[in-house]
Amino acid sequence: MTTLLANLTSHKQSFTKSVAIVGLVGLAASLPWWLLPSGFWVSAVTTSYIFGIAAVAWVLIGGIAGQATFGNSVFFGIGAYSAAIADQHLHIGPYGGLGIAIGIGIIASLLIGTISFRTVGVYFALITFTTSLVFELFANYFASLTSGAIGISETSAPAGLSNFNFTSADTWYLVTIAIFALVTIAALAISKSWTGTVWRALRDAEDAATACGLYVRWLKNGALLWSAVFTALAGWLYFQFLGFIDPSSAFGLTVATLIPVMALFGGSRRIAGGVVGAIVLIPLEQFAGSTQAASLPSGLGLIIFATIVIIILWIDPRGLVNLVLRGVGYVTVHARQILQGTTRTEEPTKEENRMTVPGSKNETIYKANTRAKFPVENDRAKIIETVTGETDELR
Amino acid sequence: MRELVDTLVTGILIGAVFSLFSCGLTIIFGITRVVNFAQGDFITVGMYGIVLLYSLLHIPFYASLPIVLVASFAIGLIVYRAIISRTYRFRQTSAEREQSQMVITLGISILITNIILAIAGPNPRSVNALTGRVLADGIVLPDSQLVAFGIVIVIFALLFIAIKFTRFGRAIAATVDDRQMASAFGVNTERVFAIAFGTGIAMAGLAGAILSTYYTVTPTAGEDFLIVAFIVVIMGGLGNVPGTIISGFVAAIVESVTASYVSLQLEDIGIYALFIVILMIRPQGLFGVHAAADSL
Repeated sequence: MTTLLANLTSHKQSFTKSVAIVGLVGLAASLPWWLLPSGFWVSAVTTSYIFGIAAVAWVLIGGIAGQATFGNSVFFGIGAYSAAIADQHLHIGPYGGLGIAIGIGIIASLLIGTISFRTVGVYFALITFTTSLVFELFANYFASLTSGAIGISETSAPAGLSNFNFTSADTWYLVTIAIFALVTIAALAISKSWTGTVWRALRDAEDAATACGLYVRWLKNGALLWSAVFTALAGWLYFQFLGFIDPSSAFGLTVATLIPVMALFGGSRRIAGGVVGAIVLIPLEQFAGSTQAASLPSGLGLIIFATIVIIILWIDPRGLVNLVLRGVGYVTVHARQILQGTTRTEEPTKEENRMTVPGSKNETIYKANTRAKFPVENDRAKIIETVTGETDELR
Repeated sequence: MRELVDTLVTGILIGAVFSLFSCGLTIIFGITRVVNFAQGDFITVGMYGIVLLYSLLHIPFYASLPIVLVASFAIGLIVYRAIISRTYRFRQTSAEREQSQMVITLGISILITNIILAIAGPNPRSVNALTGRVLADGIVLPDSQLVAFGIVIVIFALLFIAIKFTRFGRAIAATVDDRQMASAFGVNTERVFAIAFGTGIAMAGLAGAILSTYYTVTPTAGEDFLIVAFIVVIMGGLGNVPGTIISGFVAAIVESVTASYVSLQLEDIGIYALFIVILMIRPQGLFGVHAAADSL
């Protein structure tokens, strides 16, 4: 862990970045006191942080390691049910439940990984998706342990940190955002470490990674394991916060698809994508299912939810974060041109000419720059695209 | 013995419909590489199409079927042209494109369910068409399932002829084989993609129209079939049409055997158990080869 943190802080811009992150977290933590109006919105945003943990965990396995699973809800459900069963049957308190959640999450991730990593791509996505639905069926079937479709409600315990039970919504908000921030920082550290680099390698060129002597199956299992740990934590927190779990909200179709939808909506190549996806989508989803929306025509809330997802991905399938960064890059370049009063005609500088990493921060700026400077060059790419009907693949 | 025959016949009759919508899913994937999470909801659209045309507007049942077929084909074309085709314009690896397309189709799925919910309300509906039944040697065969079976066989025959013996069918095969080369030889691959997508959706719509005669119609009815379709398609090998048709029947027979010999509540368990066993033995599906798409 120390090496991970050292890696995180060794980055060149790390100081400004850390300050920005701390500032953002601080600002987000103060939201209930000046922006969020009623109790409903505070709890909706709290829920979005819990799902944010799951979305960030998805980015690790799906975006960085490139193994797009649609079954991370298995670990979410395991987390929630561990908390519930620890509370209901074992009476070992919430922290015992957390230990069980993470333990079973790890075992499940190894089992599921062993079976499902025999496949790749779409097969992998569909197989993990179905696995989650099998778990839903099991949760319904073993009713003596899980109370079946009725679900489990939390037994009442006195408030306090030892019971992980808080009376005020604001305390819940602060506790959740703290855990969310810690998980995000841990995920950033993993993403920047050697492990993260290797995951990217196996995402972008699995054969080359194998040829380099990396043990790809273990690395994939490792990625799923990290993802499972964080997702189980999210599930555990979800039960503690909501005090209720049933098979469909733990393993069902909605939550199974919601986790990847959040991450891919935000943009799965960056940890920030998971964070943004959850914070934008979950309050909306909560609103759609709440009594607040009861006065609206039925289904309207989710119609808005789906429309936003489709529109953002229609504008840029690479996600909201990428879209915003493109916008920022575009504005920066044009503002500079207007301020300087000229369009630049000189040769590209050495740095601009450097191969840019696709999806990286400077790719968008670089592209906006070249488009302004070398329209002809850009048209050539467009002509090739029109003739062959094929945008060039990044393989 | 009679019960066994009865179970098997029911399985085969239902299997035809399973094959139909799963085949739509696999055609869409085989040609456009889109995993259509909205397939189940287009089944629901087909169901409500019959509710609208037959139950409310009193158009004869056999006249409603082609209307639903054509309408869902048109919806498929529009969805592809308006939303899906745009994703090919961006610089993404094919894996990432598949992922964003999955999320878009999930969005479409949520959108359709809730639009239907907003218009038609949550109450279940049923369609009173083809209510008769045939008795053959003591085995009861509902008209609706017999008709469904017949229609599906006709559709599959037409599909086979269209792909094997027409110029456009050869264009499809060429596109599946090598999109860039087909494009260089003058095939309008964009059009092939759009029509393939429309065909897949039309098959879902028609399956929904047929199912509405013996299945309760609700806005979320398609969800169950989506999961069935995924299992069938993985068993058959993604993009493998003959494999998908066979595993559609296999899945339905397994389901009906579990329903009559184990327990009606557990009919899903049988299909999942089969799925997991197949996964252990052949992760690429019963008939799957990794480059499954060229088996059309």
